[in-house]
Amino acid sequence: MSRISSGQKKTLLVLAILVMVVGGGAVQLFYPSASNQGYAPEQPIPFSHKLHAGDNKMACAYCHVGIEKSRHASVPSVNVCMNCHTVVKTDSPWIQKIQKHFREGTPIEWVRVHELPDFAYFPHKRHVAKGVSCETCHGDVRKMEKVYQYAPLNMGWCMDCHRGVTTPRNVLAEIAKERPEVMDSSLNHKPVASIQCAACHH
Amino acid sequence: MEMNASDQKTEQKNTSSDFQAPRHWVGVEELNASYWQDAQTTEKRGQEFFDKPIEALSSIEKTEGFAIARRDFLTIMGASMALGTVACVRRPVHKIIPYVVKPEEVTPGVANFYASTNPHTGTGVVVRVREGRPVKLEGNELHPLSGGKLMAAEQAELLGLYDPERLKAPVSRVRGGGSPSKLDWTKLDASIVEQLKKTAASGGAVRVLTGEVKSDTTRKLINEFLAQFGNGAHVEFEPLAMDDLAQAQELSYGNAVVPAYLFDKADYVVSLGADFLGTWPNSIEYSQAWASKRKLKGKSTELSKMVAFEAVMSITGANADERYPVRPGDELKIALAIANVLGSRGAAIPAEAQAAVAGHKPEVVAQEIGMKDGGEKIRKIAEELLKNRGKSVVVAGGLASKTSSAVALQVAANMLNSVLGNEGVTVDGTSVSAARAGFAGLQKLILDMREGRVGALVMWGTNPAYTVTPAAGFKEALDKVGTVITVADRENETAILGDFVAAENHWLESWGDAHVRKHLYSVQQPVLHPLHETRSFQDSLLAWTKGISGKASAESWHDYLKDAWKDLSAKEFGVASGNFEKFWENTLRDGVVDTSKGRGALVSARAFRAGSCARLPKYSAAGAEGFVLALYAKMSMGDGRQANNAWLQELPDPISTVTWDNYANVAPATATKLGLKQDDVLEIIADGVPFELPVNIQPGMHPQTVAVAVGYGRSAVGKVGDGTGVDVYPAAKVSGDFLAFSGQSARVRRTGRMYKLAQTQWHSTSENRPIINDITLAEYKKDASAANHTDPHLRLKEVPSLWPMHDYSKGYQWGMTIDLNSCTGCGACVIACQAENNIPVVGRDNVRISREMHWMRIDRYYAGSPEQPSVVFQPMLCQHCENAPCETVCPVLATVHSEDGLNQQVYNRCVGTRYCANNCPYKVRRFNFFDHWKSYEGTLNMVWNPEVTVRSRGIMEKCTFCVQRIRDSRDKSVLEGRHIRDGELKTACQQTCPTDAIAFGNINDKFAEVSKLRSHPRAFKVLEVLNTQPRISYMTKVRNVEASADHGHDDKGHGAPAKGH
Repeated sequence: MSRISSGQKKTLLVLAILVMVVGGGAVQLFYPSASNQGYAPEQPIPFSHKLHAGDNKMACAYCHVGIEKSRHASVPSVNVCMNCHTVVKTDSPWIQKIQKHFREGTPIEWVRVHELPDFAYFPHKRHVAKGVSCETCHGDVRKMEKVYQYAPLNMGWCMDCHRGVTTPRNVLAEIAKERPEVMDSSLNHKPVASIQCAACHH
Repeated sequence: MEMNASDQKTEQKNTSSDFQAPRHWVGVEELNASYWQDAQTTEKRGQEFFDKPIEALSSIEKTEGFAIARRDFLTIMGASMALGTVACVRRPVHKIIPYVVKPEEVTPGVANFYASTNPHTGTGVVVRVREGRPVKLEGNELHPLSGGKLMAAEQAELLGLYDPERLKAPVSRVRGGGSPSKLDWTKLDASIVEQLKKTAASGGAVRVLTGEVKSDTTRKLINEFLAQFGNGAHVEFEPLAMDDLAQAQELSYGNAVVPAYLFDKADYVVSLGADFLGTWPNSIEYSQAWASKRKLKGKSTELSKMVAFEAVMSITGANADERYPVRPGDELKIALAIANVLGSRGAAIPAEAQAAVAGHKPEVVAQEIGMKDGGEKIRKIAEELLKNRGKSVVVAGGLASKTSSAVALQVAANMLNSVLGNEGVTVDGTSVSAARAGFAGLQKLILDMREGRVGALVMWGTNPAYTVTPAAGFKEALDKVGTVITVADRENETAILGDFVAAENHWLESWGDAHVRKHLYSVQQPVLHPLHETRSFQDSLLAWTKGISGKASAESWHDYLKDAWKDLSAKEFGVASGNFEKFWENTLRDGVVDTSKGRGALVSARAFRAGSCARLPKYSAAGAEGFVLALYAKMSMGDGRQANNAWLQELPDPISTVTWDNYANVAPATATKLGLKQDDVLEIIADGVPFELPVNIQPGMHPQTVAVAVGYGRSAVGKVGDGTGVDVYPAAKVSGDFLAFSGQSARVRRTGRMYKLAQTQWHSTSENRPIINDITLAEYKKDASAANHTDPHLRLKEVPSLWPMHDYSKGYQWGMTIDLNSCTGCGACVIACQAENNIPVVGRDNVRISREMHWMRIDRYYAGSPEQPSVVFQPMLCQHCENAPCETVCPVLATVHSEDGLNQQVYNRCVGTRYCANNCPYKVRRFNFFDHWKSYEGTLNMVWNPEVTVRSRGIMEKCTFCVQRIRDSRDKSVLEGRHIRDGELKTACQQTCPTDAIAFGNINDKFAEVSKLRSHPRAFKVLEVLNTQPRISYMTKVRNVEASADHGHDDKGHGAPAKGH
């Protein structure tokens, strides 16, 4: 067999790069990443988390009642809004819209921002119980006028945390107390939470 | 290495001409040497799939619903890809729609549990409700009739709730033609009231015909409604009613009841055609009680014994230690032959019975029936009954033994129970309520109707146009009734003959109650708002009562029920009126009030009226030629009420493993004689009524019997049930004042046509690898370790592993045991698994080509001769092998092991090579050839369990050990800062198993039930020699029989496996 000339080598290299670029691009095109990081859709009512959670310092769990007991954090029902808005800022047309929904018994159709695929089961309650703060995944919602998807929410991102790479320090410390064996001298880079497939996919 | 040695051995055996049939076999074909040696069949067995995929695909393409051919499919895919590249930049916008006012008790994502009662069976259920939608039914542990369990048919009620073909609004019809028109309730009520008023004014009689009403309150309401008319009466009718039994009870003891049997007090059970483990009412309670005597826990060697004589193999017969096939009607002769022996041993057989008993010499009867050494065997059974006086029971009845002499059979059984002192001990005729739903009432009603004496007929929960033989003349009589009102959930065979159809709620949408036994009441509370514009029967009655007389005793059925319970609570439970609300709340929570305990003995012996023995006939031999028809009800389909339920249609029959159809069962000897093969279409003419049905060759049938199941061939039930199977109710005969279902003489003829039954018995076979262990009690007593009698050549030897083994010594390690001794094969686990794990229905054509999706299947094996085989059931599911063969071959690591010992299937990784299924020695993996979920339309979409992914096309799936339940328990225990307790976490199959044959838990916990069972001498692992190290252990079946050639254990092991395994 003859040796490949340098010219052929160059052509091959160019070809290989071309294949990679085109192939990679095609893969990106056909299978876009599940991530919708940065997604910030218009909502039917421009609810400001900055105003409620930031300026007025309302606790997240006041509205998102499921975070400690359910898989879903859950979006509040209209009656929760009405706890305050029967008296607060009733002159705003948006508040009047909420009141109309309440009076007529029609639900508000919020646009979903954070969405995992149907085959992934993420329990809010377990994470909250372990001390993972809301900000870890949702960003500083207290500063968000309009909520957007802060984290990539893809599997690699989940796994980084479960593997102890990006795990918040407070959570790591907590786990180290309970299960010292996962925290040897290197302190991280050990799975600190389940990395079993069926933990989330079932 | 060992496998090779044994292969060589078998090869020698094959070449030497003495063919040895396999010890356990699934079909009679395997008993022929040709099955194993014939080149063509050997080649077929060597293929990956029994049916060639190409043939399979073309057959599917022909059928409706899968109209897209492969090439078209590719074209479409190409086009959609091109479109996809344009549109895929933007994610689909999804909405979150929260409640307007969230109910306090609902948290999205958290299930609520409500207790209710199935009004048809009286069993207590607990309903798991997610966001107001029921997603699973389970038994209520507090209810003695369910004890936390449900049978397959009751599990499947969930799918019935979401049946998209339920009536969505009331309908009015023009009788004798004309199209039905939908109307609203106000209009319907106005028209009905007007008609009823007219009837009342003209002095016409009003009748209410219902199914069996288990609710005293409903009965009271019906009577109040009828009281408005000069001539009103309430008639109850159930097609499968045991009116023969009730009639005989009245003759023998003076009260017409269907007794309750206490199998937990019976060491010796003789069943004369009685399928008390399967199709009988209260079969859950009976299964539990019977199995409590079959557990062989720890070092115990105490085992009850059951002997069955039956015309059609039922799961009761299959679980009997000795089972003898008879013709319908022979059960009576057996009973009298037993009485004959008892008499000769000094038992007090009443003088009135002497004339009948004397002629029934065991030898004569045995000779006639064709029992080999039968005289001796009957004598032995009688002796053992004598030995077990007061702790035995003789049970008889069921469709297959309901011949024209059925009442005599029941009288004979009563006599035996009384003579043996079982009455009042194992037979409880005193704490049960009267049986009302016999044919006699309907017969009188039909007569009244025919004579034109009935002005208006209201029907609820009954379908006589389908379930009653045309010979009874119901349809013709209905034409003479002025106004016919049907309360039904669909326009069924009866409803389409009437004037009005009041659309009914599903029982899960309605209030109600049930009075099941003395001092045992349960409440039926609705668990969701009615899905459609429907109304409960009781609310309809109240509305009509109010319309006629201007007032009703309550505004709504709920108020009526609560008022009735106020009275009941004071009278029955001594609740002060001030405490009623609290009592009511507790009752709703528990679902049941049982104050029978602490009231002293409710069960007492009744005196036997010897006069009833006059019913017993003298001996006369039946003809030894010709065929006798036996009708029977199936576990799944019952009377056909749930024929539109696809879960039940696709549940393989425990005995025949056929899905989706009924068929004519014939004995192997008969098939040989008539030259019949499986799937040949047979014409049966039973007393002049002709049918055509495909043949199922059924071992363990009497050669003179042809047996067919009722409940099929409906014409007005819906897409699933219409035309599925053949309706054989017309073969029933009116015999005096009950319906005789069996015993008709039949002529049979081969039509020469074939119809392929969707039978699963050859799917996923173990191909004669030794996968089953069974042993006799005598052997077990001698040496318990003999229970694990896997062929020594096939025992696992220490083998070095190529890989370092995982460390399974820490944390939770999930494992399961399945007791073959208490598994009755009922199939409740299969449906429970289907409901819990979103397992789709695939349809008849797909089952025909082995594409059923059940994660759990019940393999049925025969042993012994095809004339009189013994049966073992083996629930087969993913074994969660520690050395899983599937895991090593997956190219994309879609199936991997978890730390806690689960064999995980990761849907999102699977690319569908199917190599794993190919490599699985247990054949428990299931592949989605189609997007089956797409056929779940409309309300059916609500049946999915939100905790489990709905799988799409091209994905492999299999049992997960209900990992979503494991996750849920883990979440709960972690939040509560504790470990999961043993018994707290139950898989769906384990939860519903009526006999507790399945145990599941942490095998690292020495004290867990599952650990104790795994170390029991009966525990064995399937195909141990493969070193797959399953996480499931089976417990050897121990039969209470004398050691015989059929059951004995020989060193040679398991017959002659064929070459090329």
